[in-house]
Amino acid sequence: MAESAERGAEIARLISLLAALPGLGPRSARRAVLHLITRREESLKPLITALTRLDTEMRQCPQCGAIDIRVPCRICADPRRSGEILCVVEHMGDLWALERAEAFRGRYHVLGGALCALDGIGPEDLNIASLLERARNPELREIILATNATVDGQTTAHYLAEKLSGMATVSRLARGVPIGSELDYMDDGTLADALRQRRPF
Amino acid sequence: MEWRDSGYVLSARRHGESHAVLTLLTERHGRHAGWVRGATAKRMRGVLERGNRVSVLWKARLEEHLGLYMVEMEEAHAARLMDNALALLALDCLAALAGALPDRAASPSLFQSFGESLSRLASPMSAAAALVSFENTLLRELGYGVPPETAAARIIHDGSREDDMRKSLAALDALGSRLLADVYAPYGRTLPPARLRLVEKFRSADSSRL
Repeated sequence: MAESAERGAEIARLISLLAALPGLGPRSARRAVLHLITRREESLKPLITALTRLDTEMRQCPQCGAIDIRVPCRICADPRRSGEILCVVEHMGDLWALERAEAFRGRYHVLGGALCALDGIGPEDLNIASLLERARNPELREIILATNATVDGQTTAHYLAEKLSGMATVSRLARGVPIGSELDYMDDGTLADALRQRRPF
Repeated sequence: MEWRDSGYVLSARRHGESHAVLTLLTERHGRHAGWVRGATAKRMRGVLERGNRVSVLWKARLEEHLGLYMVEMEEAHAARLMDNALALLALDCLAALAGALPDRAASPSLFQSFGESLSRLASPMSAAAALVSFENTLLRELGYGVPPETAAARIIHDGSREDDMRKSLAALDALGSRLLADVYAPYGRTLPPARLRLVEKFRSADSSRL
């Protein structure tokens, strides 16, 4: 009886750990745990192996700041990627989003956040020193500042643009009308920005 | 309990996965926080950017509760300022300084000064004058005296006179000392880093004109 109660407590603990993850709540965590314990061979054991490997081998790339199990990371080590163009992003999630778009074949630099005066996040808290070091490479032609279109993201972009001036061409992502959106439903700020940054047709 | 008001976004901190605790500088309820459901939704993300003016409905069971905010955009200042590095720094500075105001203490004059300052951030000269005016109002609202050095800079600058920036810089030095001594140092705090960086920018803009 005590043993089964203990087992129940372990399952409850796993449910609460999963429920704390982004995108999962208690209900979906219960479903996931039930799935794992009823499919031990196909789901639970491969998951344990993957998580253990991630835990023991996960490293931060010393060049770009991305998380990978290889050092340097797959992107930095890929000889097919151009070393002439560098894309600066705030987080790993942003790097993954750009990789999903399959539109960029250069290398990345992950800052690990954005400057925020109100939260006390200054340049020394971000991966900026290594970016400036990389920017000194004469092979580098362009640096794309792909920080978020938020006040903090753009404050970071302006700061970096100032620091990087004279090293390589500094550009930023365009802002405007998202694909599939209707003007009627767009916010005023984006609409005004899209008008300001219109280009010849 | 519920009320409607207008306010400028000072900060929006994520709460859980898709919600946020929003802090506004409101017209009739001062610096006031509230919880926003679905703050990370596409429709809301652009609204909750610092500096935007929003109309807000606050609801709570008791007055001392955090309460629920329902927010709609009034004026999209953040998007307008995003291409101007100095304006973004000044926006950070204004928001940080507004943090010195006690919670829920109504200050219509500071609200008005915040709005006026946002419209004067295009050039270093007008931004410096706007910061002088805002800090004067802040000190008055907090019950402290205004340094005499700021008197000359209190005139609304038209941004055309050569010595405007000098007056503003002198006034900002005096205001900075007063803010530090009366507002920040008693609580073991220093002036907001954004203010220090902004004044430094004003100084370098002034010296590059010479």
